[in-house]
Amino acid sequence: MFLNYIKLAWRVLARRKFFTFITLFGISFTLGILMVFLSFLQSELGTSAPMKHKDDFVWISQVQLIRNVIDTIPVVDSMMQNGAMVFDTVSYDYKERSSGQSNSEINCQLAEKYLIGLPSAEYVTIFNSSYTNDVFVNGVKITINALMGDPNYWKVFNHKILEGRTIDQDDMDNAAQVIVISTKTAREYFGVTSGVLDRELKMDGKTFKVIGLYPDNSKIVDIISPDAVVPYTIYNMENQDSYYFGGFGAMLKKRDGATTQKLKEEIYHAASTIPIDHPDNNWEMNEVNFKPAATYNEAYAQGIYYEDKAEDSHQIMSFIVYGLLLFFILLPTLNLINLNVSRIMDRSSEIGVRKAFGAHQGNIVVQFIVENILQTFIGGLLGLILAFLLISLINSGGLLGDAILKLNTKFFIYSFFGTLLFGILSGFIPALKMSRLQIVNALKRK
Amino acid sequence: MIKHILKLIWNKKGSNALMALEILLSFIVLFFVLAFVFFNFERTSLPLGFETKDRWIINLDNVEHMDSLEAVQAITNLRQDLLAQDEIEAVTFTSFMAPFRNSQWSTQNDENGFTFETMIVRADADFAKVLGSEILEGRWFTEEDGNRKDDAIILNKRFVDSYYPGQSRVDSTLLLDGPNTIVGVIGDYRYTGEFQEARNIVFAYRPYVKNQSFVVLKMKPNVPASFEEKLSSIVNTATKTSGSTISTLEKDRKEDSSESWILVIALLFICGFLCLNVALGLFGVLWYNISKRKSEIGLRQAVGANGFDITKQFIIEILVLTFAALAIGIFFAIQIPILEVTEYPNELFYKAIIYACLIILTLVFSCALFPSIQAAKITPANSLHED
Amino acid sequence: MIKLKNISKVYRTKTIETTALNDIDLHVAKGEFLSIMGPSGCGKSTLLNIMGLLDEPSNGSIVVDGQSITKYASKATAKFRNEKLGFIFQSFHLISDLSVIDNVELPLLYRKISGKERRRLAAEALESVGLINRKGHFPNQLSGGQKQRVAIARAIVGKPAIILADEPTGNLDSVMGDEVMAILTRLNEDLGTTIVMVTHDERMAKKTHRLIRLYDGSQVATASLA
Ligand SMILES: Nc1ncnc2c1ncn2[C@@H]1O[C@H](COP(=O)(O)OP(=O)(O)O)[C@@H](O)[C@H]1O
Ligand SMILES: [Mg+2]
Repeated sequence: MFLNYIKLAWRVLARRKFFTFITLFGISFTLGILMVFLSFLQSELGTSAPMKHKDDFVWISQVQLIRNVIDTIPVVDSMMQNGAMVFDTVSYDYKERSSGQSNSEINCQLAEKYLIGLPSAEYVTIFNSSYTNDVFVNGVKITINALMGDPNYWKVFNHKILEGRTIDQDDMDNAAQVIVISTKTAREYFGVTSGVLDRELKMDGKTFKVIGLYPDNSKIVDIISPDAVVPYTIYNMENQDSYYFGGFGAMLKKRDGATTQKLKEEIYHAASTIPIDHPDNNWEMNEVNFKPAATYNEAYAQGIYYEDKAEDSHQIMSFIVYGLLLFFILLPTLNLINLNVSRIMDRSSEIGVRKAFGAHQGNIVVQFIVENILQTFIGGLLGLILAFLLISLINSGGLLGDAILKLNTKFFIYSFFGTLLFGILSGFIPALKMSRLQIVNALKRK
Repeated sequence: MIKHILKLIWNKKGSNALMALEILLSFIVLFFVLAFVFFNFERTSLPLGFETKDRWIINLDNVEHMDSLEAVQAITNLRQDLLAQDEIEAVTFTSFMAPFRNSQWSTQNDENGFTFETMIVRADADFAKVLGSEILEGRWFTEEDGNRKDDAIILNKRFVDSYYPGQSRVDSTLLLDGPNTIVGVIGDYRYTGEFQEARNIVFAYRPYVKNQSFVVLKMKPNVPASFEEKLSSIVNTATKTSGSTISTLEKDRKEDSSESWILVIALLFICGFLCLNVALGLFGVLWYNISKRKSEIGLRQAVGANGFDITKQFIIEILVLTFAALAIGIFFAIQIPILEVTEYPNELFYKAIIYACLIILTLVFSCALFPSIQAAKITPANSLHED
Repeated sequence: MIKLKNISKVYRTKTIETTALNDIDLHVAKGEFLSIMGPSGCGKSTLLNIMGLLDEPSNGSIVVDGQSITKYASKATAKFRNEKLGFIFQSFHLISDLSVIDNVELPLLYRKISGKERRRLAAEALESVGLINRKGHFPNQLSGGQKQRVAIARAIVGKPAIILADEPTGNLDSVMGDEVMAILTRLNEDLGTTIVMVTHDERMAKKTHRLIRLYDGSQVATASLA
């Protein structure tokens, strides 16, 4: 039976070439573009290495000082007396408002003191991601976007280690000049992509010993794709701006069984215990927060569309992305429905005959959905080819900067279900409409 | 005729409603995309207000962490060393508000009897020379401006146009953290990038030794990139770190705008695809409808319609449907400028509505033309023949 | 075999009401070959459609093969049509995207029969209408008479107890019409299939057992011929 449906579907497609072309064009482009988008989301927000635990992260990049003032607003009741205004009673309203704030990256000691040891956090890594240096190798400039991190950096992010080891506590305690580098740095600095252990890398007037090598990854977010990692204890802590501000951020990974929400609350609480009367607070600020204290996705959304609360950014961004997606899918779907409906009318006599010879409504719906799904899958396959082409174009043209789009199994699974959904969606309304055709009317038409 | 066609449309409300919905959705998508694209194009068409060719920029590291005497010494040395190079023509030191950097410092002020909003940029005496700013009135800062009792400031033209339209403000006073004397007016300085909003700017004089974040260099033409290594060592020596980074404004400009360009191009590409898709779909549906109505066409011809009548009928049919869909679309779209939902200029939305309508009408018309002409070619003998 | 009682059919549109059938009582016996005649628009097709459970009467009851029909859009009715009834239409209604043999197989698709068995039965049916050598052709490669023979093969492939034919010779010339008529007669005689046929052709009607005449939705005459 099922095979028969497929056979019939194939025949119909082969015999109406022009319409098959129109339909396949629409389907393949729609699905192709969706796949590219999916691949982008996957590489940015997926949970492949080094972001395997991404959904357990709470990200803190700044500390915020706020000055809240209470406004006193007199509310005057007046009344008319003998044609003139007369004051009656005066009451006061109190409103809190922020009259100033100051945000910046966090002071390292402040982060260590208030962010390490929260009950819901399994690991906390503290880092300074702006250790960018130009170095020259044989007259060629290499910009190394290094990160100053700690041993936990690899507990939170699961970068694969190709050679050697990562930074350990001894390196931290001794402020050792050791460096773990990415294959990109190895290639650019040493001209090789393996066997770099114990070689020397000169940067920032220091000589670092290479102790480890990890593969490049192509995330846009710099803390995940540094060109190299060094222990942050080599940093001259004197250079920090104040008791509150420095150049540091933190990523916390929640413990199994805890929730990111719980962890966020613990962070809010920790922030509220930070003394506000430190002499470095010379702007009369009266509240301290860690920001954004949000999950990875929320913080990512905030990076694109800033709202004071990362959760709001996330909500708005999700709304925008889903809205755009909806529109983007709706049009081709509607287009396909329109085409299908008119083709179905064309085949009403066929439906009448089938029903006269014993097909019931379900048979007809299944037949046309199978037809449509077959069609969408051919379109999906073409879309996949298109997506491959687009992705290699995007990657080779560096259109998204260093970001590299990839296709993986998950991507194929998503694409498969996406295609299936599209097929069912665009086939269902016409199929239903058709299956409801009264036999008598169906046979009369033509 | 129109009444007859309206009747025809009405009798097939079901499938026509789907078609109209598709046209409506296309209009809405086009409207938003066009509004976005026009918006960006309008911004890029404004001049940046500074030169990028042969300009290099150094992001200074470490100087701000030095104690102030040491920092002044470092900057003074660095300036001397830089100016000693043959390749370098001029040097300006700036604060964080440097070309293609996203830092902004803005303030609101109502001490002058009216409220104004402006960005503030600290600049030294060589700023205009290095960045090629267009001086419209008065002069740029000189080092003597450091000795005045009040502060010397320079406005951009947009500021003057917004708050003192048609007046010359040179030598008058503006209250902003105390009295300031306006010494000049310049064209613009859209340092945040080509796709960013053009805003009011007040330049405040600050001697170069206190601008410790960025250095912009005006290079002689055709300085090779290899000069960077020498430059880097000069900077490293002066700042006692290798953390300073060098770039060119040309490169920064490209990088800064490429993201916006990619978004605009991706949107246009997707929108173009959607239009093509809808056009092909419409074409297919019309083609089918007309082949289904062969006997109707034959009959019309039998009762005396000529080929042009037939073509006309089908085209009018689809155009009436399109107008109906567009009317609904415009009704919704026009609420945005009318209710001033956004802070963007209303003309933008009107323009987007007009262009979206034109594109859709053209698309629909060209999709309807071929099948309708084809329809006229059907002969009655052929189409009235039963099986 | 088919019992119609007080069958009426009224078509309502916004402006007018058409009474296509008015209080029809009819009994078709098992193995009978019945023909229906009447001017165009008198309700012949409507009557046939109601007998074939393709259309729902406005009023009255219908019993086919001992089964009283109440629900028309149900799965059971579809199954019933599939097993008990075969249809032949004036304009053939072959599916143009399917080859001759695939068209003939169609009713069997909705039964649980293996593909091999389906092929065999379809070939057998085509054989009996003398078109087995055309099984790979498509409908638009056939003449009208051939098309109608394919349609007959399709109607009989499921071995239905009843065949309903709506002007099966209406689109055919007299030679082809006779051929089709011969097949139907043989079917009735050899297999005892009950046949109800609408026709405009007195000659064809004469070859059946009984003729009823409709006028304006009412049965006006019935004549036994055999
Ligand atoms: N779907 C319908 N809607 C309204 N009237 C109909 C419909 N189908 C048939 N009729 C009317 O019912 C009457 C009988 O039609 P039909 O049974 O097709 O006649 P015929 O005897 O020529 O086969 C005709 O007057 C026709 O106009
Ligand atoms: Mg009839």
